[in-house]
Amino acid sequence: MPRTLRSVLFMATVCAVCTAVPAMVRAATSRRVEALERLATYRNVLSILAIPVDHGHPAAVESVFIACVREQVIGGRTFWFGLEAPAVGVVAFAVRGPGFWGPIHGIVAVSENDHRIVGILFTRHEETPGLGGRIREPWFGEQFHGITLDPHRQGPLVRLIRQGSREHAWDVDAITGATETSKKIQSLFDSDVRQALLTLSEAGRS
Amino acid sequence: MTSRHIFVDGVFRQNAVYRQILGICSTLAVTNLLSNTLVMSLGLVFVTAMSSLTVSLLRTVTPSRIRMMVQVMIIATYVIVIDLVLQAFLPEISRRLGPYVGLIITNCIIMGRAEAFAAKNPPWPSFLDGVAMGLGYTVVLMSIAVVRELMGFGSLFGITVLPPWFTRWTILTMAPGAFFMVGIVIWVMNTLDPPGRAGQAR
Repeated sequence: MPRTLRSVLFMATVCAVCTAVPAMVRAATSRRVEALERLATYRNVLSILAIPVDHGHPAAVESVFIACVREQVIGGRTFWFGLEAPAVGVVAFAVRGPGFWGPIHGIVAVSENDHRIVGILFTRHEETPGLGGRIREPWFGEQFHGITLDPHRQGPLVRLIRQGSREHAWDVDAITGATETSKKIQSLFDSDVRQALLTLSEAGRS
Repeated sequence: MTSRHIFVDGVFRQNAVYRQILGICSTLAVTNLLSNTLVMSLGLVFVTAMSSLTVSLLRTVTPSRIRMMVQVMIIATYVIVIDLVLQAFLPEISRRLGPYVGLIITNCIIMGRAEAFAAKNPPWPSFLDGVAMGLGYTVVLMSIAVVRELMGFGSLFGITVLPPWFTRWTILTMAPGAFFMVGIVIWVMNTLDPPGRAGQAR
């Protein structure tokens, strides 16, 4: 057999085997991966809607989610409507935007009638640990509670400003030493959160 | 070359990180938390050992002019398998390691050992060489991670051990901290065991 043909055949065989092995592993694990991602979403949604659940039991998380939350896709975005106390009249949705080092993902929960924030959770980020990474600390998220978001209002939806200089109801304290992350959070509200609220009001009118 | 020689070389004398300056990218990237570092290191031990074994098993039948392409295919296969297994069974760690698991493919240690050792030696010593090189990488990464996590976050494996009044050295958790630590490790190891002397001992 000529050397070139032998090399080609050998490479083709190696490629076939090396493609087949990961494909088989993927087929064997894909269901589990999907289930884990779904479970993570359920946990985050239940936690932001303040619906109590035993997070240690995946089956319990799933059954509580099915019983207490209605999932609906509006305008290509998934919204989660609370059906049980304390989340009746509350809707949650996932948001994302650029951060300082990488994208910031979060979930925002607002009241359906007046878009008042009842919860906010940053689920995934790559901000600097100890500085921008503090967006995951409870005090930071709690500051947003009670702010009414009006997507039609001119100017920023919320303002992240220097501690102790609040002027409006939509002002919250920025994180000291993480100016860029604070700016990114403000633009996340102005872009993706505003977009989600507009989609929601549009659907409410129709 | 005996198994003992292969181990001593892999872990100390020819240590991939501080002696050959290989695998620096992941050394800088994942060493701010011990749990991430441990998983990354175990992944590297597995991939280096298995790909060295496979390259060695195929060494007599692999046409020499395509051997590097074959090595890359083998390495990539093992890395993708590791990535898929982590996603399914250790999702939190998989998420934190992010793209770095996939980047094991580009870790020079694996390709370096496949080409320098496994392509010329029988399967068993090649496998041992892969394990030893991986362990050498593990030892260095874990020692860097202990300092970075302890001083930067005040914890070890996520368990807080330093009191709240201890001011955390946040810079150690960021990229510059990793550069300092890698530099210090190379300096300390080259002082304790100068490369020239190690070369003569062989």
